[in-house]
Amino acid sequence: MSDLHKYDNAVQPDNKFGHTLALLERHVGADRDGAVHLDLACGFGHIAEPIVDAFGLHYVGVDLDDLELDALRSRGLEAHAADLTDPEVGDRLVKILDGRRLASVTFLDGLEHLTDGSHALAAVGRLLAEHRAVAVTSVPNVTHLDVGIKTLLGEWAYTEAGLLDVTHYQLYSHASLTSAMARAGLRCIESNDVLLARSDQHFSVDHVGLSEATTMSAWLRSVRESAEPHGLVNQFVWALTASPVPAETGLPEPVTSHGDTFLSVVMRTQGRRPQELREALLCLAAQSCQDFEVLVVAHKTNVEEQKSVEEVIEDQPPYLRERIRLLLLDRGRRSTPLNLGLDEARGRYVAVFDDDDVVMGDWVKEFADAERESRGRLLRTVSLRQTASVDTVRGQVGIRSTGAPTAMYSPTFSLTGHLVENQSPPISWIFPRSLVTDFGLHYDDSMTTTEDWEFLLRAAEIAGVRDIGRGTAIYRWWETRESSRTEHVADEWAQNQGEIERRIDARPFLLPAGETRVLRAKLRELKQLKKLNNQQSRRIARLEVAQSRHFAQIKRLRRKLGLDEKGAPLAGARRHAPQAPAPAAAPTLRQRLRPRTRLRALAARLRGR
Amino acid sequence: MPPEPRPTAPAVIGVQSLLFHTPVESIERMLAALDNSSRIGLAEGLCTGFTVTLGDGSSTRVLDDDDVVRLQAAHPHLHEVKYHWFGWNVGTSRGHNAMAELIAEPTHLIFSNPDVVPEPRAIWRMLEVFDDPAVGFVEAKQLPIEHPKDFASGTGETGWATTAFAMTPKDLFLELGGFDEESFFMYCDDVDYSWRVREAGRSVIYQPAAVVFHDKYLSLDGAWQPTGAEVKYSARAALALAHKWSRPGLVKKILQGYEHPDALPAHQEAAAEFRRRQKRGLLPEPRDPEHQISMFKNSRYAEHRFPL
Repeated sequence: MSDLHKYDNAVQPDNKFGHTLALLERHVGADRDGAVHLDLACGFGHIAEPIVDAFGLHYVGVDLDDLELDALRSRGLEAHAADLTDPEVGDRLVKILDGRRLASVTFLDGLEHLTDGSHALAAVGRLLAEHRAVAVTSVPNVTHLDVGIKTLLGEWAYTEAGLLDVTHYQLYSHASLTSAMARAGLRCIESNDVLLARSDQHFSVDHVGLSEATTMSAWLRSVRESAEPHGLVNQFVWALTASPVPAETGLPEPVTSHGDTFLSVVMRTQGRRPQELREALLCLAAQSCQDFEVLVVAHKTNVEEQKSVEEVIEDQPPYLRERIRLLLLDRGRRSTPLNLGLDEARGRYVAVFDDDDVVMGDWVKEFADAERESRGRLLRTVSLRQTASVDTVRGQVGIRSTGAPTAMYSPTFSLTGHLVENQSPPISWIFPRSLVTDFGLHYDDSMTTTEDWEFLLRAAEIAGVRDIGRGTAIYRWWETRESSRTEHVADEWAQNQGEIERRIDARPFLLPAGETRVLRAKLRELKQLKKLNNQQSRRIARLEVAQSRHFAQIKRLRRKLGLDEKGAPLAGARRHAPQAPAPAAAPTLRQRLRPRTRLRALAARLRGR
Repeated sequence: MPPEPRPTAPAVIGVQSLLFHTPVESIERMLAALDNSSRIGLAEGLCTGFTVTLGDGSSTRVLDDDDVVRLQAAHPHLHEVKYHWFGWNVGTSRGHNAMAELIAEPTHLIFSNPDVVPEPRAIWRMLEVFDDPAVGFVEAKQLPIEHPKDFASGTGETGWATTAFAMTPKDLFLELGGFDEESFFMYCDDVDYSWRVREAGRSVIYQPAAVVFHDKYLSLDGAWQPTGAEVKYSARAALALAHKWSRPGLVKKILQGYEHPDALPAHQEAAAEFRRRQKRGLLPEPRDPEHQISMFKNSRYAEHRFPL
């Protein structure tokens, strides 16, 4: 197939042309009389007639290839030659328009073929701004799952056409296309992407990594879906409008250094317990390592509560206060403030610090030390648990510890152990922010409780956990006051736990090296216990059979002796028993002993001899 | 949120802290927090002056003259940062007594460990308690490990106050002769002072709304981890306190334990020291013979809310 014909595709509702027409239908202005539609990189101009027919616009095709332009002209359409990589292309397009009003632009599957598309995009941005017009562009998605998975496995296959067209110069992801548009003063107002579960790169057909049925593919797809939702997009098809060019217009620079701040401490508060907030911030003020920022998220606070939070922050020593950011949030559930904090965080790591937690003076330092050796992993210390209540002394509200700090949580982390029970209060672990920015992890706002547990499992699965083996925090267990434990009924906790289990079971689950050893040990133990249990069950069954046989014998014997179930003589038996004839003579000793001997023999059997 | 308490009369606060090879960073953290407290106190008219005295019992100076100038300049809300190098390990009792003499202005003294960071409002919440003239000694609550001593809900009354961070009117301190530096090198000097405050008819108050961070740690299983110095000097102090507050039976019992061949060397040394002082007639005259003030219970000097 020659270059000329490889994209000679007909207009179909489900391809880029159909999607483009749908977007134009929704976004081209009503005043179309005498207005022009400019089709950049028009090729054969397949979309020309449908545009003319649908919108009544005057079609103008622009391309570099004379053969294609001639083909257009032969159909009675206006066509012009222009080099879209030319820095002066904007002026050239203005000249082509020649004072006519521009209604819309299409730039379909052209950008990626240009050695430098920035001039063409800038020209589009300029024209849209001047004419208040709309544009639609389509660009292949080089991060399609088929390409992504194969790239991971070291496979990269150019093809004549498609996602990895051998003539593509620029390759785009959703993010890089957004940036390219922004640099040109363009903004996507609606996307109508072409989705393909199996793209032209879905080969070979028996590729285990590409099959949706395989474990590895399913795991990669679940990770990708969380990280970036465009894995099945074959072509981005976007409606564009003009927008201001942001100050930062350059290409991203490779970042080789780490962020300046080690830790972002996200502290959610409802402003109802200012004393606890004071204690929490005091713990931070006293940290031996101050390489952190604090994001206090005031969630659904009324004016009075917000004021109290602001006062507490205002009271803080300057060296801490200048690193505290107060974020106000008036919507959402328990996780919403955490997610806001995650989005605003700038640290390499993130900690979730509830406003009633208490930490030791080396809480940050222990994590910072561990980061040097285990960068990228979750870092976990051990939290103690302490009961507490609110107490008022001389009119001032204080917190009273009512029990000793107690070791309630496992000192070492096991991912499989955590599948059953959460042993890590949020204050005892921190996670790399990359899990948020690169893997799309957020707290699930649909969960009313246990959102931290669900997040921990997902984060630990991806990043792994480094145990620090130090007790650095105290998780308070409120005895007389509301907390998430008391606000939500047991059923709700159980429902959320069920939801976590359902999600885990819905996809493959990755275990860290060595974790299967734990599983093996547990499974062996379980197998042994089952064996013992079966042995015991069989023995119990045998004993029950013997017992019922003995009971039956006793019953028969009692009946024979005229006794009831309790061993008392049966009244009826006495009443109705036929009167024994008076013995003609006294029974012999043998006659008297026989029943007793029989009874003894039976009793011995009953005793199990 | 209830309004912040306001002491009826502004005070001059004198914080004093005994250094012993203390890291400079720790001193800087404490001073930054005190400077912030003073900022609030001065702005709100809660105090008219705020001084800090750093007594150094280390064998070599923790701060040189340039450090002191730098620290003073970095904390503009502290009217004076006074540094005094004792040149020898004077102990907390003698050190605090001496520091109380170094600056005249304070109306209220705060005894603070150098590894303490007070919450911005802590000092002013403690000061407000002295609006009650019956109060003689006020203790702040410590984080992250709260002292398990019991206190009365509502009044905050407690048996004794720990000088990790505690406030007393200076005139009362002088009237009572300060800490008993002859009997106590460190540890239990605060228990003894508390009991003498109560003996003088004033109360000792624990204010949980006034919070300070005291840089302490627990083991993984939540157990207290005493330092060697704590074991050594608290053993000596236990004997001195029991003797001074008329518990001869307890002294005998402690000595039996400390003089046992299997006892810790620190305990054996404490017993020997006690015997030596006893022989030389250096022990104080026992007081509170009816046990109206003091309390000894399971090696503790008050009821505890929980074991630690």
